[in-house]
Amino acid sequence: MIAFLVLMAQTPPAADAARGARIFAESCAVGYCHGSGGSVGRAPRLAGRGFDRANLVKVVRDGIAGTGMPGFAGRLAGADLTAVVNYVMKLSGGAAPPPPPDALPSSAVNLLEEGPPAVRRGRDLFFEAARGVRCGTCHALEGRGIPVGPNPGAARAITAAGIRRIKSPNVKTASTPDGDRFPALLVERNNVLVRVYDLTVAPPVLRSFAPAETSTGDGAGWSHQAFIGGYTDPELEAVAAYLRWLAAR
Amino acid sequence: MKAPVLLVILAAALAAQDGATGADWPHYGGTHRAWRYSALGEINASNVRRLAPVWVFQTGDPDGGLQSTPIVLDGVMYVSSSHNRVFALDAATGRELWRYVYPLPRDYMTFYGPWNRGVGVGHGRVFMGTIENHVVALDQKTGRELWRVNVEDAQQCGCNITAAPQVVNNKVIVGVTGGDSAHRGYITAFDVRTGRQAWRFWTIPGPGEKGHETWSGDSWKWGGGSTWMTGSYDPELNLIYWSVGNPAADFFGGSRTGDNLYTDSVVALDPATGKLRWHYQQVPHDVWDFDTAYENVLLDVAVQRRPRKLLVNVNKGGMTFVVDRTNGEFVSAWPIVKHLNWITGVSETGQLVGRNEPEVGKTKFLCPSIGGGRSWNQAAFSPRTGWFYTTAIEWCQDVTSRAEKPREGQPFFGGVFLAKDPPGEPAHSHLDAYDPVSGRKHWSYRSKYPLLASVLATAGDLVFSGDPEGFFFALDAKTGSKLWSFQTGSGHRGSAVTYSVNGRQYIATPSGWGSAVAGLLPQVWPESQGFRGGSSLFVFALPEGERR
Repeated sequence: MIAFLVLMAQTPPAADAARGARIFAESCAVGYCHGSGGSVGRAPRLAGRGFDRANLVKVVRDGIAGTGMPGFAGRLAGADLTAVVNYVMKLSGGAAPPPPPDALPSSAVNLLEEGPPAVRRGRDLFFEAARGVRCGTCHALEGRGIPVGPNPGAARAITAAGIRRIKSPNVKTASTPDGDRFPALLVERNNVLVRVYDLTVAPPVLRSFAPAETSTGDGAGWSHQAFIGGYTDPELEAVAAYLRWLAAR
Repeated sequence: MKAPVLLVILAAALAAQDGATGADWPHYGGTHRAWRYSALGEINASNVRRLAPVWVFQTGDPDGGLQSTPIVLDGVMYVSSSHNRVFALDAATGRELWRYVYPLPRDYMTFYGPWNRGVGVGHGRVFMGTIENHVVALDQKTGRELWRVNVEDAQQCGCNITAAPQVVNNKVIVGVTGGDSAHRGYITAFDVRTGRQAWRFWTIPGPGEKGHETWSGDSWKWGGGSTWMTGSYDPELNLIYWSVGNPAADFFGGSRTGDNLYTDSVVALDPATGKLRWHYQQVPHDVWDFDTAYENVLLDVAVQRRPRKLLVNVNKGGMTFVVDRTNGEFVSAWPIVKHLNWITGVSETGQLVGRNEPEVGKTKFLCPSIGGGRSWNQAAFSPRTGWFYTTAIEWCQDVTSRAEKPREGQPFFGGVFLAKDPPGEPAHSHLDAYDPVSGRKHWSYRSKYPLLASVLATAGDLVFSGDPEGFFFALDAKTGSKLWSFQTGSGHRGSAVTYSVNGRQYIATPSGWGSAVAGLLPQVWPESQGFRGGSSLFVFALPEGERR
């Protein structure tokens, strides 16, 4: 009887099993990965593998560098991670006992859903793929975006008007022997190589020159205002609220 | 299957040799017309038995196999491998002239494979798309990087670039993967000299654009429509032709009601502006993942005594669609597989008949498999026979559809599948010769395992391809009989080409098993898990003393 009670306490509830199956179908069985029921795909078969639970948790959480296996911490909330690990353990042979509830870090949450609604709206706008050129085209935050320009995360008092007024003293004018002149952000200059971001249009182009092929002078007819023209004032206010929230966190 | 539209073809190919390559193999599909056909005939049906290897090149990176199409210009070969390495080789000797290793972070992880399907060369530059979603331009003589542009954050979009870029006039044009992710697809053109973006064509129209009404709610933002193979180009009409993949979620259409333009469509664009000139949608509201993403073969053929400028496109659902490439008008449709049950046929005006759709919460047996009635490996056309040569796979699957919400850049399949044998016979593959318009089959070459390498046709009346067990082979283009084969040590998933240096003809083939579809094979052929990987290039010629 005691053994039975212990077993009951350790068996994930039906809701957890259903959640594990759903997460597995959406994130693991998919397309060309592990296949339906962990049968096999381009990614390895999981069924009947007899995994070690601790190792499985590590792989699901952190991924496997240099392979197609991504880390799911930050993509899936903690309860989802636990559920999918339970599901894969069952597929793999099911002998191992389920974990204590705190086996996965509670910090493993979906970053993209953090913050009050106004902040989430600002974040969505910052990275809004449907508009093509967006803040994230040149700036990276919270593991997303392309780090061309400075990290805007320290802007504790930023406003929409402030975003429009941003000066860019680091943007110079680059010239090439064939007469091309363009606004440029210097990335690297040494004896054999000069690399600059060409900011003429978005997305920026990382161009490489021999030192003799280009020179840079001060000033540029470039403005942050022109690049962010696709955003309205209310949209920029929401972006500013997101940046303030990040800076204060 | 309804009988194909009856069409009388009086002359096979009116076209001269303008889709044929000569000494060079300048573009991904051979020429911009994508015939994968060479006018070289030194190696032919009567002497191919004497073909022998002259050099072998190892890329050193077998992860994902070798899926490339080598480009050859003026005796130099440019070939890309997995992880975006590019090698320039002396095409007669295999000597390495330069190499470029793309600077991937050590801990880089991606849902998508590390493979690359080729480079584009023009304007003294070698162009490549990367697994991190960059486009890179290299100096053609030295391999030095000239510019690099990050098209979109790969981690956010769940997309990247595996296909060879298309170089047209002063633009390098690239597509994007991500059709099975919550992502909105596009085609983007960059200036060859500076890398500056010239235009973008969104494959899913945004608010206010024509076609936007074919997507319900916000589904247009996450609707897939990737452009994961390379386009064709007709300089006379000044149009580029690109194929657009499936809508996402693949197996669940309940949240994207409508036709979902321009997914599963061929689009004709102005190469200078990216403006849409016409489109032809093969599969409105696709719920099977039957991309129209493959190559567009441009043929000039007489149909009912009238010379027509045609475009032939085989889709993943195992159907070939032929349209007029001046205006997108439907001409004919015909199947390349026997086991096909997602429709019962195509009407005389090109409409799908008898749609057999997955149902939420149920498991349905559907043919072909999402691995494709054919995969992306490409067909060839020979103007000598007037025939179209394509591979095909007879396999099916159990599909279970699920209602699913999009998560940006994350997988968005709306269901799961498991590949199965077709009814009444084991899964298998074949390579066939067809009339390109009527689909009449002239011969068929059977293979136990899926043929996943492209086809090469030559003026020597030969058809080359390779199989998963490592055999590279030559068939008689007129009869389909096997004339020659050579074991390269690893399966074939790339595209063979032919070229000449100082008058000597060479045949080059990638060898190296891998890829996403190759990964599905063990669901039906368990022994295929043991197929050996690799990543090498084998080059053949007639022995010097035996030429002519």
